[in-house]
Amino acid sequence: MEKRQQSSEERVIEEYSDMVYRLAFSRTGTKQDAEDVYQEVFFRYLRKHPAFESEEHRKAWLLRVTANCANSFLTSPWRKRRAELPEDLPFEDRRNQELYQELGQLPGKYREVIHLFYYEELSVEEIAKVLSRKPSTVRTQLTRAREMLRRVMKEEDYEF
Amino acid sequence: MNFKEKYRSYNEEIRPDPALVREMQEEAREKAEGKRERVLRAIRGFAGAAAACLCILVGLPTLAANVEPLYRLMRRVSPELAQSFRLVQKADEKLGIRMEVEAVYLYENELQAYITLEDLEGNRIDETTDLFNSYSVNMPCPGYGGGGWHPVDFDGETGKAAFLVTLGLLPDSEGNLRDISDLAGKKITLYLGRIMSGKTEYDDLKVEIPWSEVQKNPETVMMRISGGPAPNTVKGDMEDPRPSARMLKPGEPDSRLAVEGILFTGMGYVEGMLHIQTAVRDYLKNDNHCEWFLTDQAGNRRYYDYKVSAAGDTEETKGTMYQDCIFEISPEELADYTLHGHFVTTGTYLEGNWSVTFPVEEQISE
Repeated sequence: MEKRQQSSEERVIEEYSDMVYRLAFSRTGTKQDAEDVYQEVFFRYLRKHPAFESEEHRKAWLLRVTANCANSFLTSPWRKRRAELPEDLPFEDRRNQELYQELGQLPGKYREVIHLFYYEELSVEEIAKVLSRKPSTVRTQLTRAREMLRRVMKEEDYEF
Repeated sequence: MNFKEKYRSYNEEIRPDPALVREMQEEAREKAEGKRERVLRAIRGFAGAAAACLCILVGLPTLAANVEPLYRLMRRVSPELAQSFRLVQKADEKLGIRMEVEAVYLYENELQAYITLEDLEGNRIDETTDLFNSYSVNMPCPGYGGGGWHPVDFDGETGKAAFLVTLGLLPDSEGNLRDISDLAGKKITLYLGRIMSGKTEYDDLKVEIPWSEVQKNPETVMMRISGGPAPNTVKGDMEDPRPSARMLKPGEPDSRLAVEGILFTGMGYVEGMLHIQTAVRDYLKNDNHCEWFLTDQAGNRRYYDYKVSAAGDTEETKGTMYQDCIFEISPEELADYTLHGHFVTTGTYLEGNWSVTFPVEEQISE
């Protein structure tokens, strides 16, 4: 049987699903909200069908749209109506569960910066572009986020 | 393991549901093949449900495709699941408003119900009608929580508004998830306490209050807050477990915020952060609320960093909800921005306590 060829959009979804979902989760803090943001990001991608010069541009576009969608989603009046269902969290490892609780004590904006810096390994300037913030703001947020994490994390875990 | 390694390992466990990824890829494929755009999943909790396993069916007729327009309406939300809903079509009428439970679907530990509202005397039901989270169910096995509601449709000609309401069963006292199949052979009562309508929304309203009026040393008060996180919060005590935070002392309402139902009561720097305060009177009987943001010359928005709310606790302020939106921004940086808000106010408030009881009779596996 001949294997059906994936469309280029399908490949993009496959390749960037984890990246989009993880950034959305870092900002919203729940699986359900991250799923909503994830859907919105790829709906936009499919609707707009943007052209990119390189994969780097595509990645930056998806990160920027994810950050924007998460922001809009968290401030939308519709979301205010909803009570949250008890979450079935995605962590099997107890240490990850603890880290989730610790990160939960940070404002979402800080978690987003932490994520882009430590996970996506973007520079402060790149983060500033993705989040439409000034580099100085990102730098301050990164410093404050680390300070806050130092206060809530166990000593052996916060070597940044 | 340093933070970076720990954070990386943490993220390895964070992945989207494979069903969600497949659904999105299907969407992409159909688009690439030029097919009609599918109606997309709009309601959470539907992922994977179509490949259902255990359902409880209400002992009422299946929602057949020839039951229009309800079926058409439900297909807009989820074509796959529209087939799984069962008709109820039972109603209650109070204050000239008819609430009808049109159809329900029970799945694992969740109940979903389509309800419609119709004003038999006027036009108090409109496209902005809000259930105000005042719905509940009376089930033979107590303990539900979470869920939400979603507006599905408003028919301008008939004045009928349709909603999808979702309610989940909470785990039992030992933390075990419960299955809604426990309800087979019993009855469920769906209640709706209050509704609001006549909503006005201001999406991006520029507020012309110059930064020179930001108070550098405003009067502040410690207030028992709801929500968070907030900077420098003080934990509650045995007497009152709510945390406290320092908020602006409410001033006289400033008429330059021309949104009826939301009062601008001050802005000032508290512990190095900009607080912008609003107040809503009689807050239990409306849903007036706002979100503040700053906009730079390029149109980029900068949202608040924290938001705290506190209900007035004196004779004078009882029934008033105060909200401080807090920005981590220096007075020097402020000059680059203008002040904007997103405001929502409601008009009609009705407390009807509508209720409809219907049976759950049959359980099948699919």
